[in-house]
Amino acid sequence: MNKTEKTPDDLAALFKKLPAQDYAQAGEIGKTLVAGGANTVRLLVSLVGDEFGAADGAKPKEALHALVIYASRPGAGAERKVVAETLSKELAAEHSEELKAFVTRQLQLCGREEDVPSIARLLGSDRLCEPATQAIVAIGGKAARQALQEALPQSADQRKVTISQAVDLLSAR
Amino acid sequence: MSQTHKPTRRRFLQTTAAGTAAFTIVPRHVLGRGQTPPSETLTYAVVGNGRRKDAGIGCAGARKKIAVCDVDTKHIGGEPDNKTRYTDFRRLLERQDLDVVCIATPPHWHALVCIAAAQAGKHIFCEKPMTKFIAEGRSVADAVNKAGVAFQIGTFHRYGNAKNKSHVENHKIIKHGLMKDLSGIVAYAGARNRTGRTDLTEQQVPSSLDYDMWLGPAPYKPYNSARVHYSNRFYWDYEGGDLTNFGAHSYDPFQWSFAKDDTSPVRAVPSAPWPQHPDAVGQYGWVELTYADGLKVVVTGGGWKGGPKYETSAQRRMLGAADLDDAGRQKLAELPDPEPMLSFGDAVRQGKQSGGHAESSHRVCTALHLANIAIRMGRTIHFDPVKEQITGDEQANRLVNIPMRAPWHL
Repeated sequence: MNKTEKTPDDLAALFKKLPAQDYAQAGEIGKTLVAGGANTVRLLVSLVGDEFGAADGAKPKEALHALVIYASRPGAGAERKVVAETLSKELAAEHSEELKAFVTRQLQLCGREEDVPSIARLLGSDRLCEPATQAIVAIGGKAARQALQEALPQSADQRKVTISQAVDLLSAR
Repeated sequence: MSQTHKPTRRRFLQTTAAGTAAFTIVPRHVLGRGQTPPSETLTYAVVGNGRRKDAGIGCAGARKKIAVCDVDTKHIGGEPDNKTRYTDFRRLLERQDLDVVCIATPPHWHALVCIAAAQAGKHIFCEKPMTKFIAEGRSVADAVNKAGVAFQIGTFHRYGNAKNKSHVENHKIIKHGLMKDLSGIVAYAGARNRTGRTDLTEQQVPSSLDYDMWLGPAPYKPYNSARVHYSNRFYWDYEGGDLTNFGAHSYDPFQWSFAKDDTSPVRAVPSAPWPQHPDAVGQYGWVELTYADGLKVVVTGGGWKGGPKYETSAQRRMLGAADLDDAGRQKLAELPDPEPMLSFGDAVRQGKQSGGHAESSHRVCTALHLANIAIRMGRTIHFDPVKEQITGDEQANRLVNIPMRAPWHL
């Protein structure tokens, strides 16, 4: 483990500082989280936990959201890429659908075209089709439209409505 | 018969107001003092018949409620019958005998119901805040404009400012460009600052509530009673907290006084605890919103104990004749006062727009949404008031036009 990697105890100590009471402190928290790299992203996802809305998942959720926002600030391309790439991989891990929905909503904020294929794998899920589609629409671009168009023939019922509407929206842009 | 010549109730009201069909009206003097002719009585229905109901609709004048609509059958006083009690606003809007729709749903539904009402030719009274995100407001304003219906937002303090001599003078100076650099002026708009809960686990949906329809365009999240029926306003998916809730009341009159009904701030600087929870609205101290001419409006929350105080070198709160040179004062004296603002009822009957119209309401909401986006990002954001996009910050800009849950869309 390198010295910037975070342990659950490190993160528990950081959670006590959330939310920061000024932007200098907020910047320090952002830097600390980003410095933890992909392992910290994965650890935070696991700490959010599979149960939707559980009280002990609130601070990890806040911290992961903070990391997503901080790493996506203007001019922070490399940091954002690590966070988004790691979150995209988490979509294929053994997590509850609600946890994956939360991760997908973070990708709605920080994802880019290269994250679309990972998100698009959720389009076949009745629960996750909606957040996945919204994230893909938010990312936009050619890869997004193509992924939705490819998923459309395999979709049915509400998923078909969701994906088809998204294709129309992206085509109209 | 073409759509253009279809004799709708709305057109009838407008036509009679213009006097061209006066023979169809029972004159007031025939009915006696204090009696309203039936043809001048507006019919209305409430969409979102929970806590607020039709509390703001008094601005319509003579009116008669003919139906209510809510996705919770507990709020409509019985089983839905699609006559006086509805659960789907789309069925309600099919009625030909309906003049006005009073929209008192949670804000994440406001835009879609407004747009559908406008397309159905209904006049709109919409509770504040007008929208959940910025792009919705543009769509509502365009739909209202295209349909030629009247719109009134549920806040009325601008009517007071428009009758106040100091505010009228301030308005005229800025509107007519008698002073172009407003960087020495700061106005304050206060709002409350209640917060949401971060521990909303899944609960059983009550049998009376159609939760899927309640969510509508908002992302699906498992039901918890805190998400619905008033406390919804403390969750980002449904509203922007008290900043948009009460902020609308205080920002709206300032926006008129400073002649900013057709533009938006170019910059938002936040001061708030960070991060905000991704689901629940948190505390904030203040947000400084700056317009292209330098005017600053500071939205204050008051709920963040120990947060930094807002500091500024700007001294003035308003402009008056004393701030102008001799030529400016002369020009100000020659300028006519603005046209009096029409009440919603008069706007409907005269086929015009009311004081709290859709474009101004959209601009109020845009400013407040920008404040919230800056709070959530924890950084200064810049906005293009013409393109209505956040510039130089792709992530922040993704909150300007948030994808909706199908089948709902703008």
